[in-house]
Amino acid sequence: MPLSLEDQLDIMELMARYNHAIDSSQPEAWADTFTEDGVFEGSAGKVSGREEMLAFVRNRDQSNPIRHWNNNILIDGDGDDATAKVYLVTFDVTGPPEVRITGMYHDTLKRVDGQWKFTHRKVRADG
Amino acid sequence: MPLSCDDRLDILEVAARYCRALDRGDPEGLEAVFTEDAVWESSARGQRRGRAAIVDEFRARAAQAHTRKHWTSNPVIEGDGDHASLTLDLLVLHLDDGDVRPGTSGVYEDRLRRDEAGWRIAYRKITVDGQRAGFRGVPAQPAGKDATR
Repeated sequence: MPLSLEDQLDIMELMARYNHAIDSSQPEAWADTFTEDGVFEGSAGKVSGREEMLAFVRNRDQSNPIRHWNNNILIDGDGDDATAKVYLVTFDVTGPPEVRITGMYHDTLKRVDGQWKFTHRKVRADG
Repeated sequence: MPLSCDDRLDILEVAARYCRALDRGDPEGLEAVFTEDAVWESSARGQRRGRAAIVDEFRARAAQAHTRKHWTSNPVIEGDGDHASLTLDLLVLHLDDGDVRPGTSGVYEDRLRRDEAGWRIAYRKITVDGQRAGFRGVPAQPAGKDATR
């Protein structure tokens, strides 16, 4: 069954919650955007499983406040499975915002108990 | 009753209309997104109570129109029936003499109400970055959301 409008809005909102969680350093809220066996692949390598995810957020460099922004969200899917491609830009907002990195997320998602979650989120920085 | 997809899209559009009204210097457009008893509160500029006071605040800044672009991202909407909350990140681009640079960033925390005129902002709090100690973020999943929604 193709994704409904509600599925698409829910997935976009999941991406927003992910950004709010990482930017306000909430380890549980960030880990909650992934399935139990979810994997995050960033510039520093792979993070998988709840414990590693909580530690990843706790140990992040928090010397400068950062904001993650998304745009051009493309979602494909069927039933309880989806994939997404999303533009990313991060800003250092210590003072007037400065662009830190740009890139793209490549996501796979699954609906678990009625909630969409990332099973795999890979970020590829531009350049 | 949980918010429908229409509600969620309408609320996103109200947030977009606010940005557009500011950037175009359009007081009527701004008036249309607030309830009459709305409160607007900024960590940088203080509080304005009532739609008329809010529109006056922006009339006073009309000279800035067309030199600012308000961008938003990361909307999270929660609500029920005729009431909703919206958390939204903000970035203001400054356009000066052909140069574009990010000027301000922060977060909007809104409460919206629906009446016969549709969804409108009843309360908008703006916390500019660097002054946001009270902001605790939003949970990873909406409270009480389940497969029946």
